Amino acid sequence: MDKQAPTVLMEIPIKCGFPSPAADSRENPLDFNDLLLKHKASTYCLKASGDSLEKSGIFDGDILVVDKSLNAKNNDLVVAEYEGEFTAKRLKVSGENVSLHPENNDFDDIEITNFDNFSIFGVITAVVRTLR
Amino acid sequence: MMVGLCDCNNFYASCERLFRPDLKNKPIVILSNNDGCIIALSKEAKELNIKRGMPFFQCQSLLEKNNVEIFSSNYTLYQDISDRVMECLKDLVGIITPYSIDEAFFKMPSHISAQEIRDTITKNTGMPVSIGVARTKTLAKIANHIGKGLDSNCLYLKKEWEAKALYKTPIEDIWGIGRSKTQFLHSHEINNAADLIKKNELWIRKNLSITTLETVKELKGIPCINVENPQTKNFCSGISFSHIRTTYEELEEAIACQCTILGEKLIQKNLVTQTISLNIFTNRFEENYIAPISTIYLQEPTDYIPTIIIAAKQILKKIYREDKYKGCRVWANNLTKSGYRQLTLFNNDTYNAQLQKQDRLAQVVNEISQTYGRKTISSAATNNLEKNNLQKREKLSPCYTTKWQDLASVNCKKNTKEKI
Repeated sequence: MDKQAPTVLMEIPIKCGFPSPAADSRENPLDFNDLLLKHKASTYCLKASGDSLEKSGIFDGDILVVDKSLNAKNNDLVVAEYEGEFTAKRLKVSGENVSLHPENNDFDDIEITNFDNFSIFGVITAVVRTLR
Repeated sequence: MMVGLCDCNNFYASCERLFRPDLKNKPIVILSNNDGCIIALSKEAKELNIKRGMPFFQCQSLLEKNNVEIFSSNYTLYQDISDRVMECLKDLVGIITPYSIDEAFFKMPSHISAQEIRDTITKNTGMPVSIGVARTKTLAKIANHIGKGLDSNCLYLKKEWEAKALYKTPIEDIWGIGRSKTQFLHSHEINNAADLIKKNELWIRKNLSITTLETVKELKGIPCINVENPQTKNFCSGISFSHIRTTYEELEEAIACQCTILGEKLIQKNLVTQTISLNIFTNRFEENYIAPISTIYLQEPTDYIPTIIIAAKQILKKIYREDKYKGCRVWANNLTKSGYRQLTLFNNDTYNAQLQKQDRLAQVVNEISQTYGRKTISSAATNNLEKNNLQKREKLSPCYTTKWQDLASVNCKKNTKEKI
């Protein structure tokens, strides 16, 4: 009696479950650089020292993400170079007049009349704070 | 086609100033690896007649008197700022060819002006740059040099202005014309670039070299220099002593210092050298003037400062005899781009192990310097300079752009009431 050998179709096991229906939709996970680093070459990080900007949500020790490529406009929070040091203020521009708003009710706005001692380093685009 | 050259203004000093608003318009100097000598200066420091290559101890009182800010070289910071400038330039003009840490050539596009390129890079990175545009790279170098002196910091050198620019360019300021060629040309009453291009090309080829001929062609507006291959064939670092040195030890110290400057130059231009030459000389205007010179071939091309110092010392041993020496010069010849290190015939395992040891040593030195400050560790050959250096201040600036703990501080404490 001819006994037919069982046909072995394939001896190598293949893992072939049901294909993921989402495989074609895979995207890169969230990258904080996309959010914080729009212009890589012109973005610098600096550290806030002091609590005078708490009303604007900037606390002592926060990391300020500063973009130098942006043109500062009215109401931007900026890092300015003033009298030999970095300072952070809210910029107020109305027509020809430029002033810095200290974000503190006890003080008046500072009108900028002499640009020799003042320049804008960059616009603060984000604030980074780790909690623990 | 017009060639552009973007070159940072006083690059190292400008990097140090970027996060120090208090140093605006203040004189700044940067010291070599072991704080031995000055390797870079700001415009204000140049105006005080401080020169590149001066040993630190020699000009320390001059620096203090003028409140000059002193920094150890912070290559981590310089490289990061360089990367930013290059990236910004690339965004504006497309393909660029970086030539050194602070300069890059590019094909001048039509959609943007030199002034716009200059202003955008300066604003976006904080690094002041100059732009020179001309028909060839050598002419672009000249345009850049002239542009640096203008308020606009840029010059688009049109063909019809070339003659005037060449006339104004002293021979020693031409890219690729070194000290010995300058001396030779001066002796033939060739004093500026305009004089040079008047010379017969055959005469130049016969008396100078094929590279000089290329330089001359470039000055005439014919592009022929390719910067992918280093145009510089040798580097020299030398000094005239302020006082006569006679002993072997005194010379050894001065030579180690020059070797360090030479090594820094190589690192900066991304080059390695195959040979080291040393020349020591007495006063040429006195009787019995001597200027012995000798060369050592290195087993492997290098930019490793300790190796350069060892090679120079071997030469010194050979050529030294007691005399009243007025100065010394160290050369690096046969330069190649580092990274394309040619392997030697004797490149056996022992040798590779030695190379690895060098790399490890460099790494450890780096780590110690970063943790405890640059001055903690340096080549023992420059120890005497170190002893002369009584400055206790930490001179290495923070790595503002590469270390989270080193960020520059923004004052949010007081509310400034004064009128700005």
